Amino acid sequence: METARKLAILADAAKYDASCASSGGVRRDSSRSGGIGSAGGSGICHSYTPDGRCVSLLKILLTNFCFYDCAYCVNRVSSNVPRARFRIDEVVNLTLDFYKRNYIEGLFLSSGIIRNSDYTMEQLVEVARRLREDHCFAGYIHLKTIPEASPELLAAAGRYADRLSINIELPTAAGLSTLAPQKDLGRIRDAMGELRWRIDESKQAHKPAAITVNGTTPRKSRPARFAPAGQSTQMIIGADGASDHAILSAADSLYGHYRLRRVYYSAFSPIPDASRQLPIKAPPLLREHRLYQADWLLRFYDYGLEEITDASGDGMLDLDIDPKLAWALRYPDCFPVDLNTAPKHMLLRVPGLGVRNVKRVLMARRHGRLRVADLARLRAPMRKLLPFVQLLDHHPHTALDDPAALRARLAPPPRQTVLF
Amino acid sequence: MNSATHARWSARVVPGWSYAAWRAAARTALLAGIAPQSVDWIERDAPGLLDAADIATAPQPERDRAAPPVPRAFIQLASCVLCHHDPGCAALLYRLVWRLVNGERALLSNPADPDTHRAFALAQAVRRDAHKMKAFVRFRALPGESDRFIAWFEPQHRIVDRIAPFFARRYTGMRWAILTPYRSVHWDGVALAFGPGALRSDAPREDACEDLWRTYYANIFNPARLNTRMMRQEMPVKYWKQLPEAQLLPNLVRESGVRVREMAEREATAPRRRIPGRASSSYRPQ
Repeated sequence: METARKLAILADAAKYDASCASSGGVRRDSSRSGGIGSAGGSGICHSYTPDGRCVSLLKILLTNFCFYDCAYCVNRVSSNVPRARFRIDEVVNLTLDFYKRNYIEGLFLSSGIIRNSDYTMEQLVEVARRLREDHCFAGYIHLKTIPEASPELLAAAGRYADRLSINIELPTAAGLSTLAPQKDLGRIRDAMGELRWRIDESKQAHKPAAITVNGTTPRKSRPARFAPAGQSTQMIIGADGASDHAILSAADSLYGHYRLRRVYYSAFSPIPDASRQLPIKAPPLLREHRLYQADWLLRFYDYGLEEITDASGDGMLDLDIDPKLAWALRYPDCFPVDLNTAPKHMLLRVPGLGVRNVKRVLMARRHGRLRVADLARLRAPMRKLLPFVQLLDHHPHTALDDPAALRARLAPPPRQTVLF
Repeated sequence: MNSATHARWSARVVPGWSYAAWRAAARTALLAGIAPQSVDWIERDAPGLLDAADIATAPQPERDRAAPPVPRAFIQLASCVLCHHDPGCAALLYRLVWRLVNGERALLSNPADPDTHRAFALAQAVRRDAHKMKAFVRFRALPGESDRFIAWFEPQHRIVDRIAPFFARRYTGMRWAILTPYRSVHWDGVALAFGPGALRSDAPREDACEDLWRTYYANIFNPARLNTRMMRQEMPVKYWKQLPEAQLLPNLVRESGVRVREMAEREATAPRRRIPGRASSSYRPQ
């Protein structure tokens, strides 16, 4: 089979993995090695596909042959999609050719499981090793990690890759055993724990050494950085019956236990040759979007899980309004927030005020009392914001007395895309 | 007498995006105490008939006085803002530096101040363009030569000098050139060399890899998630003509509805293959 045909099959097979980030990790470039590649800092999106997704990495599978039978997966053994397998040097050359033309930031390589876990993992690691050692490649490498692979192979993967990921796929053990019978939640968590331990240890070893009394730093040989951009995972949304609360508590626990850099939420999407178990429907894109917003509130806005969704109701996020606005409407007594005096943690709770604008408000108010015009200049969404804030020349008065009316005014008409 | 009270002056910044050139003129004007409203900022090389007196001829009241210090943040802001094609950049920056050294030391930390706000907005536009240039430059191999590449790119702002070091650090092991309408840059593996603007026809018309790249682009797209608004926002139409993959867009968008409908209408099929050594041994890998 020629490379172009394999590329078509193995890119198609990889597109349901949402991750394409090339950010984080250590800064490095080729100015000393004379090779090619640089990484670190913010990632670069080299293109966008018509689904609005960023194309940052060459995201492919080494092979889509797989002996697992996960119902949601396009590559499950019982699917009749065309199959292909790259040779290792084909992946290496594709990566280099694309990288040199500035199409990509690097490689995100995953694979179906063939023969056994160790054999498959060995192949993935070998691609990364050749890129790094034979070709002096300093671009970004993300390797999918197979939980059952041996610790030596995980260690080798982390030496060459910037990021490692193990997909948890479904938030509950019950969902996993129904839809992905060969996957084992215990093994997945063990492997994530192993990665966390290696990442932490390597980070510790790379901390700048303390300066001793006579002003010199003791020289120690340092081990290579282990997966400097950390680990991430993905959960499929809408394939099983898990509520948003179940999904977010799984995410919260993953962030807490394994210090994941990112949890990706991937709306279950129609696949060619779908399983009878999971009939085709439109991907819940709006739900996915609300979950990302909730995820951000957990990580950057200091919200507790129970503040965003609670298990007492149906445990679902409001699709019509974002979770921050939903919280504000549930607790109107916390508003209006006086932007000229309120502490940072309250500014972060104002609907429409993001982390960056909170910083700007804090800076600007040192120079004088803020008015509506000052806020408008920050390009904040005023319509959403004004009912919740007080400024020198503004007070929402009775706007908060009737949260239901306010909600109706702020919620856009529902627009979940209808596919069929 | 303060020289600012009796004359208009012209300050020349050539090339217009050069912070060093701007700083030299701004320092002269500051030391001479010339207020912002009395300076015309000019990017032309040749003097014009109607230009006011060159700022270099302004009387310098105290010969040995050092220029007043400015915050490091201003230097970073100014070198970024000057890359903007807006002809008012140099004047805006002089107004800012004038206010900074005349008592408003904290000016840059007030995002609500109109001058600061304007400068931040210009810098933001330049940073965005720089980011898009890092993303959307597409190198094409020179046929018959190993690891030699040329790219044609049309930036919105004057950012070639600012971005070239990034490409040198990333593509150290190749020899490459980036050609733009106003300036070009060449890397020979050791040093960057800047030159005049070029024509699109000076770069190769195609590259053998672009078909493979388009294959990848077409197949990584999920038609069930069509969202062209988001795509246009991140990849504005003005850049499309520089991207080999963008020519696929009309077809991909048009066909996505049909592709999704076909997936939905297809009956689930019975699995044809078996894993060797599992349920049956009839399956053989090709």
